[in-house]
Amino acid sequence: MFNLKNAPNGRRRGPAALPAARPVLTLALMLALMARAGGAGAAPAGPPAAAVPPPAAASAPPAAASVSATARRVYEDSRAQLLQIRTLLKTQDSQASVGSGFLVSEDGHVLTNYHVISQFALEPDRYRLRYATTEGQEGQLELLDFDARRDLALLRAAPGALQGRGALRFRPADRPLSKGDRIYSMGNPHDVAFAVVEGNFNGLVERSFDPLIYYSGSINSGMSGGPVVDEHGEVVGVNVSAMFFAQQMSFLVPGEFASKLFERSRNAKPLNAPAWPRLREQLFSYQEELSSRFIAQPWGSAGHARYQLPVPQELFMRCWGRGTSADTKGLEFQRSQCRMEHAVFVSGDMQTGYLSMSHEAYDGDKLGPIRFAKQYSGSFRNERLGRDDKDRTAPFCKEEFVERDGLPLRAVACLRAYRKLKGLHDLSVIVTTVDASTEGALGRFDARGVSFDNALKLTAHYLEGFAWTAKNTNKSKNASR
Amino acid sequence: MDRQEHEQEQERVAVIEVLGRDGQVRAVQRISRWPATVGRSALCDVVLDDAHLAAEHAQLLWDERGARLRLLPSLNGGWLDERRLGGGEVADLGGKASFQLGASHLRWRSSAERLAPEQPLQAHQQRAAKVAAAWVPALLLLWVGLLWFDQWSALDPGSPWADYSGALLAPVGVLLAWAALWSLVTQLFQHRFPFATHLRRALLGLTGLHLASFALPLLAYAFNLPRLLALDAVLLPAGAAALLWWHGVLVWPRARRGLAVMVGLGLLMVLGQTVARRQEQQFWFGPSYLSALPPPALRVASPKAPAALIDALRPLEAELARQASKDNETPSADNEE
Repeated sequence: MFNLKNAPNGRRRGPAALPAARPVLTLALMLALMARAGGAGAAPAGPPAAAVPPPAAASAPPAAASVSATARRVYEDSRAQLLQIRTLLKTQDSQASVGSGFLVSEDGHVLTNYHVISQFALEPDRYRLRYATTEGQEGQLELLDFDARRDLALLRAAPGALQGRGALRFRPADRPLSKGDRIYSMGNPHDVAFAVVEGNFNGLVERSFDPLIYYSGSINSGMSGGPVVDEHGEVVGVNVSAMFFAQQMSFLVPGEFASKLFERSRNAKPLNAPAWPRLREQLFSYQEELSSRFIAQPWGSAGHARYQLPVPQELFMRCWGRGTSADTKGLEFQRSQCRMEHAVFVSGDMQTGYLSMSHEAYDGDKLGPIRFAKQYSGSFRNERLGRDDKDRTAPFCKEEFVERDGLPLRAVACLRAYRKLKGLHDLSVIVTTVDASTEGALGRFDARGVSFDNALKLTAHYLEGFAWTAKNTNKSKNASR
Repeated sequence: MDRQEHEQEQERVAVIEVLGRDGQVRAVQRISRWPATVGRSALCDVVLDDAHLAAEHAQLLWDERGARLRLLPSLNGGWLDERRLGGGEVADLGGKASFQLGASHLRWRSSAERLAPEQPLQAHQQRAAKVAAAWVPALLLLWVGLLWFDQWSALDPGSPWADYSGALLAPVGVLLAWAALWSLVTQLFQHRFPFATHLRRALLGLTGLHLASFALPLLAYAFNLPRLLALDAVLLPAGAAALLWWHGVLVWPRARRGLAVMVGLGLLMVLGQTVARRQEQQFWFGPSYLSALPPPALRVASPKAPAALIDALRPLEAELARQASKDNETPSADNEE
């Protein structure tokens, strides 16, 4: 759901809208635009704009006159600091992608999303960064630092270039917003024109690993990195993502992280080499925190009569379940699927830094042992582990019969290594129970972008989630039912 | 003197074999009186029905100077092997020779030439072959039984019979067509239609492969030997190659070795292709992991502590690091299924 810029890769699930496993694609704030803009310089913005916005975006609720007047005032006050951030090919004027940004200092410091400038950050030899003001003034930008975990980047214009335009201030932490407070998102949607969008602050997204503001307003592609300000024009957040096929569900990075990045790196040297090493460093410390916090949590209960199956505490994961109907003739199963809805954007091709897990509990009483074995094997075989690609190796696996408190399991653990983020891996662990001839459970755990050590720890932790249920422990050794 | 001459003539006996376009002998004419004439005329010793021959086209001579072929005046002349012969030319024939007169291919074989030893019967030429053919229905039944079992185990209880018929009839139809096609090819080269033999060979091959692909995962599971699946993956192309060869030797029985080399090369190329395509993968052959989960009674290997799996994973770190450092210009994810 969150943090997803890339529509084709959309892999989030709707939190309330749909029952389980029906993926709701998230709107690509910037990249949808990028795909359409293609190579054609300042592409005519008309057609894409007409085609792309979700239905709800067109029908923003008519606001009371006083509210609109505030929006007008807020925009007037911020327009000098509002920028469009464009990534251009080095050798020609074609724009590869566009996003938004805002000035945070008199010295030309600009904040935006990391995903808006990721092409430049990773391939500075192929791309360059430029800004355009609301009046159409343009100039070069350099990259000072970024925070991939929060999807933020700090840029700077050439000395003096943006002088005298002022800077947006951050709303202090001691004056937190309340649910329902009106806030104003700004940016340049679909490269059409600078826009201000009214909406409401709705607190933080629940069960998110990193804090993210839930904003009820329409954010569209191209507004990524734009500021969201309160009625006094103070920055409360940064546009980052929206949910596809939902109404006015948008998400903001809280302003405090943007402010921290600015304070930390305002005097940093510009980055001119590919940013993989810094990205790796940030992802490493992120996965360290994610893994240790996850491993520290005890497993929840799946409520299965025979097996204890690992189910996470829903602290930063969201779970969905479904099952076969009661009158099914064949294999009966219940499925539970949990995943983090927060992912770290690396490039248009890759997101990482999230965990997901699922299990299916099967009852093959109506099938008999042979048919059950066939369908159970088929389900086990169906697990997809991914192929080698530009960013990652093919999966390398190890498998073993293991025993957890007397419960025999078949466990497979597979790892894929990242090519450009040395030492990071994707982990997939698939576990099946092998104690009964017409009953079984298949569990799967996935971790993206973890160190090898953490992959081992997570594997061990996941295996610990399997056991007999208390009342089955006594007869643990007698296998078939 | 008569007797002596007669004895000498007795020794000078030869045959002229008339060959068809396929190289098979169509007619044999024994010659014991010399010179003998060859031609279209009824007066000739060897009469050939060939419009491209003269009435008396050639003479076969055999005296103290040896066996020779002398061409008489004609329009088309002849060839001895690759050598062109015109009217009046004489060529030595020796013990054995092939020559062409007009459009007729002829072979000379004299009593002076040692005969090749008697050839053993081929399998299909023996009466036992008929007995073996009697196994075909039993084999067919076994194979159909395996297909049925496959389909039965994949379907939910109470599935209508129509769900089975398609899964059984289609493979049987393909198999019969396959045997018929091979029989037709055999007909072309061998002038016989050994349908039952081809069918039997195909059935043996298919049933064998089917049983192997059924048993190997079970063995791999029972003894925790997942790499047995690599054997399974190699077995399919190897079995298919062996089956091709087995069909082929019925068609070209004299080319057993040549066929084996050709099929072997083909197999190597297929396997080589697989290996080349899977350079980035952990294994050259077989799936990433064993997915068979037969009933627990079949498990012989005893389970280990979870730490055993963790320890087994450790060596992967270096392996993956090596793999990751390679540039992957042609990722397989491009053709993701």
